[in-house]
Amino acid sequence: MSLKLGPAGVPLSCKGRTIVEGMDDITSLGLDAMEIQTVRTVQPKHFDQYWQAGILSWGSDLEMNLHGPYYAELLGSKRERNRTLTKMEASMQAGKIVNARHLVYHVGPYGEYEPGAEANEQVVNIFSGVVDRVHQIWGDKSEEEDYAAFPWVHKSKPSLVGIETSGRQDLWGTVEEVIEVCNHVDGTVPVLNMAHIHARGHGRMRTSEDYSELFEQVRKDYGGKKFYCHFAGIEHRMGNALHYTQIKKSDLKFEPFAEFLAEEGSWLDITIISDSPLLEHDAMYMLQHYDKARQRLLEIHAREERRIKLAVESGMSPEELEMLEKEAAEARKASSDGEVEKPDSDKPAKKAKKPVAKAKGKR
Amino acid sequence: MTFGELEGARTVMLVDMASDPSRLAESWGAVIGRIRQVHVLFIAPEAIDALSALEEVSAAELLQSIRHRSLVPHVCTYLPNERVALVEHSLGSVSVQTKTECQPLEWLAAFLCELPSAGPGQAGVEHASGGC
Repeated sequence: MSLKLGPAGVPLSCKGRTIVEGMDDITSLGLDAMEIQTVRTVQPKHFDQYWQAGILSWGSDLEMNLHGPYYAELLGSKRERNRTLTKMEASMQAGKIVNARHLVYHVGPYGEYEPGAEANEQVVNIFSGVVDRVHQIWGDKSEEEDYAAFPWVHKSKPSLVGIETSGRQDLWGTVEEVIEVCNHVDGTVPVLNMAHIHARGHGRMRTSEDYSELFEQVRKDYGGKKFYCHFAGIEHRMGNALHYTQIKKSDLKFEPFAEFLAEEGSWLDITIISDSPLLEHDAMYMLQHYDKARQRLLEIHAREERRIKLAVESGMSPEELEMLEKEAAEARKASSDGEVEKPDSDKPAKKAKKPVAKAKGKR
Repeated sequence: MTFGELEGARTVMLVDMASDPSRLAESWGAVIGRIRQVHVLFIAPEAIDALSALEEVSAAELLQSIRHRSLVPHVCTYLPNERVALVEHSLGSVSVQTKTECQPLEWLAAFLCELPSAGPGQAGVEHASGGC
């Protein structure tokens, strides 16, 4: 399993303010992904930073990604759509320079469309154009000499276009809608924003089984093992996201997700971006919880292996050993209950050992 | 400006007019880049028209539109001439006339002082907004 974790932007604790300084901080925190926020405009002066960031990420394991405009109106009027596409164009250019593996976009309100096939078709058309444009930007052979110092421009695959799930009922972007569009447009991937999915589903992401179901749904309907997710705490009401919070303060917990990743996530190649108000702190928090979940699982496996080894050594099958252990546990329980009732008596404690001793004696 | 809280820190961002107005788009871009880390976004009254033009919405809709687009918990301003505080928050909108006339930053200081004890609901925000 490959898991990459990182913040959405330059870490808050970073003393510098540039992307390159942010990348340094992320690496020293033990994280391995970053999502640059080009949420409004991309200034020409940013491009110097982007080139440097691209060079750094090419020579390291740090995965760079890029978030497009913070607000989109792709299903709006022609004017609104063009305005959004203009902002997206700048982020596509920046994506190439920074060697972004994913470009993340919102679709925005349904506008004049009703949720359904017609709206999805329109989104498919728009994103087909976006993917074509990304491929044009990356695949310009006449630029090969100009970009000789930036090998990823020729050697890397173009950025994947991520379509993000939305957190409000009036915005396009349920999991089903996103998967449907991604299925129709090559070069796009679903971006599972867990906070949005949780809010829109009236708090549906509560247990590791909920995550298991979600990933199974995406695997079945979309396929593949590569996933790109956002995670943050969220306040929600009536199926709408109200505002983001730190993970600790939200009813969306990371522990079940960590549990799912540790127990069932071996097939996944997943990047999780923390877009919580406590950017890198919450990314670290997630990493710690994932490590804990993995540790717990390792302990369970080690205990299981030890049991099997013990069973083999004493000439029993693991099932027989399990049965004996159960009996012993019940006897222990009975003895401790007895102790509470008769604190002076030591008989029950001796009883507890009996079944194991008998079993050993028989063999 | 940040103020401490038991769990983590909350950030208040003040948006006023840049000394060089031609760089407003750039500074606004920087604000938006950090928008998810902001808990209270205060927009100085003199910046409202310029930001409305940048966001392509009317001045009257600016606060609400920023709140909906960014999900910042509180987006607010104070109009000193009319003594009116406008707050768009997660659970609704508030427009309150303050008892006394004060400067925008005085109003913000009073709002921040009152908000933690007044609570996050409509009544709490309304109470905190009339503070100065």
